[in-house]
Amino acid sequence: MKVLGLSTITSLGVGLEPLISRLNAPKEIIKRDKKKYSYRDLEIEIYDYRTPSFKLEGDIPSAVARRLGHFAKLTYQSIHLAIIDSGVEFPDLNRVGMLVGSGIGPSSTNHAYMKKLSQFGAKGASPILFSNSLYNTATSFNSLSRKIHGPCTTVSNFELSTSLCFKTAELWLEKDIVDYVIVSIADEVYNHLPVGMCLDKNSPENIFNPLDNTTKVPGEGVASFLLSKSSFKSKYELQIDVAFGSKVSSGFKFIDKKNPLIIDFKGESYTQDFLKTHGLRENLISYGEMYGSFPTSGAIDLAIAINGLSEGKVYPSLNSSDIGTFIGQDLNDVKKVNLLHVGNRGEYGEIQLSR
Amino acid sequence: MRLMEKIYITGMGQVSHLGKNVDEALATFKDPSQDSLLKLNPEHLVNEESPNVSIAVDGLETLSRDHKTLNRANQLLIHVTREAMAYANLSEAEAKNYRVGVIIGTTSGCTVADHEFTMELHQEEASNIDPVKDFYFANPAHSISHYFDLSGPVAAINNACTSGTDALGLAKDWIEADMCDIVIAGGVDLILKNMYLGFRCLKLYDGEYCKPFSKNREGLILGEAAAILVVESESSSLRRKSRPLSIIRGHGLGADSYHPTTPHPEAYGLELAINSALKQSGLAKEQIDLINAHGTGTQNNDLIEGQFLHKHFLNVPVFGTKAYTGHTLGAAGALEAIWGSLCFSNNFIPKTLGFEQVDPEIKLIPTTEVMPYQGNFFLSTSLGFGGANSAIILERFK
Repeated sequence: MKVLGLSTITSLGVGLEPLISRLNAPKEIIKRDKKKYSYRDLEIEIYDYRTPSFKLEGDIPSAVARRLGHFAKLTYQSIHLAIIDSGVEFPDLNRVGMLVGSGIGPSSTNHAYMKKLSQFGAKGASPILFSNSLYNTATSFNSLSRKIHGPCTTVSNFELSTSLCFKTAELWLEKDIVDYVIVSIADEVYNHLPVGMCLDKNSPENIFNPLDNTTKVPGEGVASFLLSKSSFKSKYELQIDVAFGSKVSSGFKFIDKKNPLIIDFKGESYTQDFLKTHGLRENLISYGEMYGSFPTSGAIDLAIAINGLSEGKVYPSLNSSDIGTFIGQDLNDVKKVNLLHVGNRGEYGEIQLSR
Repeated sequence: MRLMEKIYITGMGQVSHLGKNVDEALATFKDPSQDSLLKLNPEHLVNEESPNVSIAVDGLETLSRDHKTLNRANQLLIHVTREAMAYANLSEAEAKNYRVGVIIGTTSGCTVADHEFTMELHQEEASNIDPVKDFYFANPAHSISHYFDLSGPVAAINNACTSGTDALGLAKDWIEADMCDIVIAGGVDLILKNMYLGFRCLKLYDGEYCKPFSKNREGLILGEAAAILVVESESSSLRRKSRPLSIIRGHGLGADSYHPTTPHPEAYGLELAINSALKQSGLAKEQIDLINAHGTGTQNNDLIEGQFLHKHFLNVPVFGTKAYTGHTLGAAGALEAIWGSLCFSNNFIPKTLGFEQVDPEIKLIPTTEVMPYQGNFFLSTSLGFGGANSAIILERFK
């Protein structure tokens, strides 16, 4: 299986370029706005890790775009850019599949729908908000707008969404039911997290450090990939191997302590505990400072890793701590890199990229 | 490298309005009456509150192994997983000796399924967000895997009404890819107030009960359910001496790409899904001898699906079961695979309860009474919001 194209949207902007610029200038201070949240009589300020506004590209009528939820828009735009990045024009839309993965799904639309119900009761039930609040709204819109007829599925696996989608895409390609699979992994900020921070009177002082649980701020983002069989030509000439499970019972399939290991720490102690339990202390990398904390941020790490390793490069970690040794400078001529995504009960997903 | 073995269903468990376990469901199928309908008071269409379609089940487990409170969806899943594992002669201790994966299809099971809290939250009356914090431990697939201390891969599929069928298709793929030996696969859905009101505002609800393919149909009725099947490879089944109930031959998916909530008028995605399932099965269309239709009772679904089945499977008996259970969303496809396995093991076809009048636009006449069945290849179809279509083919185990 191969990646033909990819793109991301994060709080730093649309596309991978803002992330790469940041990684090339890690000491630069990023100016972030502080956003006020209030709930009941409590108020806090949090650095804003929401994605910037963007106009949907492609042929989407404005009436349709107006009714779309943020979640569907994020996936649509990044998929659009990933397809452009690949340079592919699909010869047979019956043989294009799609997988959308998420942790908390179209939460802002769900929030809007539930708010209407709370204000107006049954009369507040909106057909548009309800339809767009279902998890498969993004898959539905993206398949509809692109006339994709192959297998299309949505999965909700929190941190394991990336590895599940990639593995499922691999299985579809091996079964020869598709020639291409679009994978899009997204999460959006949901107001309940800042509400919780208000109620806990938790207003982080510092910029988000994924290795420091006291600085955790909610973030959002999307990474989309166009995948195909290994026989296809790509500018990302990498082999991708994936495994995942609900707990490590007989060792990792791909993770090798000699390789750089990119981990989505997310400001969660369970990730650090997992590393301690499994003796993973060397060659660690964290990029999450750029995007805030959300379940599927590991997909953004993956996009960065694919982009870098296709030229033999691995970008250094943006943060470090005493839990292990972190890679502090660019690595060049690297052959393999591993990624690890950890769930709150020890579920894990491992991905190996090889040149 | 793909495992070239048969993929068996060796266990099943369910809770639905047909019954609190598989045996009760079977008994209802064999002796159906008007009391077997999931019937609502027509006033529900104008009431502020949603109708209560919860099923009273005794002895539900309420805590996870790490003492977190289990939500109702996970409580039901644990309950039916126990039934399925018993059927498969798979004890919790024995399961630890195998690579056991879990795949659950659901719509509500991946949301903060606490309506009261959600209303408080939005009315600025919540004093904490504990239900949200609990939600991060409530993913149904992760919860089941954690509860039974399994280590295999896990997946929660959130593809609306095709989720349960998709779970079984993915289970087959995982085993063939040698990712695991056994998969606990199925679906669950609770009918929360926001879900009910959503379908109601789309004007998809019948006033009283589901009337699949019937000229006088007015819409669907949603029902709560949980259904689990134990899926395993032939070699695993032989090793464990479990008794296969049926064989999963093939699964197919296809997208309509037509409308967010209405199927393609020519069932484009459904045809793709069925053809894909047939190709994966190595079967010809003519070999299908029994069909469980999605048959929700809505105008569009039944028109399009019914016309398609009537045209392409003219002499094949078709039955629908949603008048018994309601439309159980993420659980539907898994329930319907259980019904297919029961058709094989009990040599019968259920009556399509709720069907009352032939619709001349559809022409399809589903089963109007319980019938004998000796066939070998069962097809189940599922059509979902967003244009998702899924088809699964089961074979009788001889």
